[in-house]
Amino acid sequence: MPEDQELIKEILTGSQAAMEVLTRKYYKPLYAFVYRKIGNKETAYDLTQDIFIKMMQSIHSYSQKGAFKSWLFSIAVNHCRDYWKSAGYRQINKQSELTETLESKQKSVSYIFEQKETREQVKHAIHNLPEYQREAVILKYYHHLKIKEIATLTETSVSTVKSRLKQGLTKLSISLKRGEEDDQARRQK
Amino acid sequence: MTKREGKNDQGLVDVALRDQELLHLEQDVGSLLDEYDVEYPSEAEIMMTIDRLRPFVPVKVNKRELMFRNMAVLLKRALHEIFYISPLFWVANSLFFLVALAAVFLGEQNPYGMIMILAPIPTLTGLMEALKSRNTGMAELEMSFKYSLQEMILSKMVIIGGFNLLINLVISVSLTVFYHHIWLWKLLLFWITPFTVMTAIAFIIVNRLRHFYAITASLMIWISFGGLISQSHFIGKLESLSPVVYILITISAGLVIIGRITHMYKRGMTYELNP
Repeated sequence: MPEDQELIKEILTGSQAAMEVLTRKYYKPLYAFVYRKIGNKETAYDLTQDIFIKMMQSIHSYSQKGAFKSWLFSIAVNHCRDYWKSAGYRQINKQSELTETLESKQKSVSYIFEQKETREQVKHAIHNLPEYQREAVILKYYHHLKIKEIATLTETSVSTVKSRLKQGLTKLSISLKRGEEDDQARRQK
Repeated sequence: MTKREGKNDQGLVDVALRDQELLHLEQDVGSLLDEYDVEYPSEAEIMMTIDRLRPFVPVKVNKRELMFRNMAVLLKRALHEIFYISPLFWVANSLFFLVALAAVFLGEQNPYGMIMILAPIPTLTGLMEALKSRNTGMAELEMSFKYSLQEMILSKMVIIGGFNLLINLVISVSLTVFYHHIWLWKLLLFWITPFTVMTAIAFIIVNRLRHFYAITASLMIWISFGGLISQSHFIGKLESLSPVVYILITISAGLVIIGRITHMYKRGMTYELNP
């Protein structure tokens, strides 16, 4: 597979094929990042598309010095942050809060655990993390970025990233273990 | 061990411990985090995103090919414009040609001075011709056609410049054929310099100045300058100048012409349609 730099050069000379190869190469990692951060399939799809459009609009300004992956993820991080601040997010958040309230009335809080849906537990636990901790955990754990890379693309220091990771993972550990214990307790009953 | 070294060592130990702690935490929740898988969009949905990106891919342009294509279009249009140039222009300039030859052959005028005076005149009169349509209110009509006004003026300028070049070459060659003591290179230098300088000024006028009278004024200035040149002591001074000076002036004027043509082609002109 051609290197990212080669693909970018080809895109700059007008190659549609190179654009397709580059987009396909990063589509899934980028979508996964956005999805895990946002937690909604449709919104993640739209945001991923927006991020790729932003990438194309500013591809001429990519300096070729740093890794392309980091550059692309920095666009994604900023775009998701903008989304959190946007009216669109507030609208969807209100709707999901309403849905959650209705659901909680219909089902008990432990309903998810009863269903042994560990995936939902993890998703729930990750989404309960503060934004910056969630961002650091997703980038480190799911995208295997180095702490220094996370610090660069989130425009913060290495120690701050470590602190965010530690706090986030501790919360996740507590939350997920509690979920497991509840699950076991339910099974014993 | 100094206090500072001790502090540094302690700091390194703290960092290592924190990293270790982080590693334990990762191992602790790692297997659970793996459960959070992602359901990816379908191939059709990914393709839709790719199609949305297509308009953002820069258009492939081969600069050399584009340059040749533009030049070919310009020349083709210039040939077409020949038929729209007033017969008066051709007649007047043919007369200039005859006057130049007569002044040298019959009036025994200095051939270098004569060619220097006459060299830019076809361009200046041609500039009048090029801007004629604007002045006679035809510009708006021309602009409604396929090509823009600036493209049409540029085409006319190419024709006029080409004609001027040809007429000067003919005069130079004729003079050197009949007068063996005339040095061809010197003659060429004496007409190329005022020709390029006045052509550069003409392009600046076309591009910037909004009054037709500016060209008439330039023509008058040049004719007065011609009167000065025709005096033998002045032409003597000009002849004593180093050829390097002429070459430098010609190169500078040539660069101005190229710059102006590029500017006209890319951005168009800013003069008013209804002065």
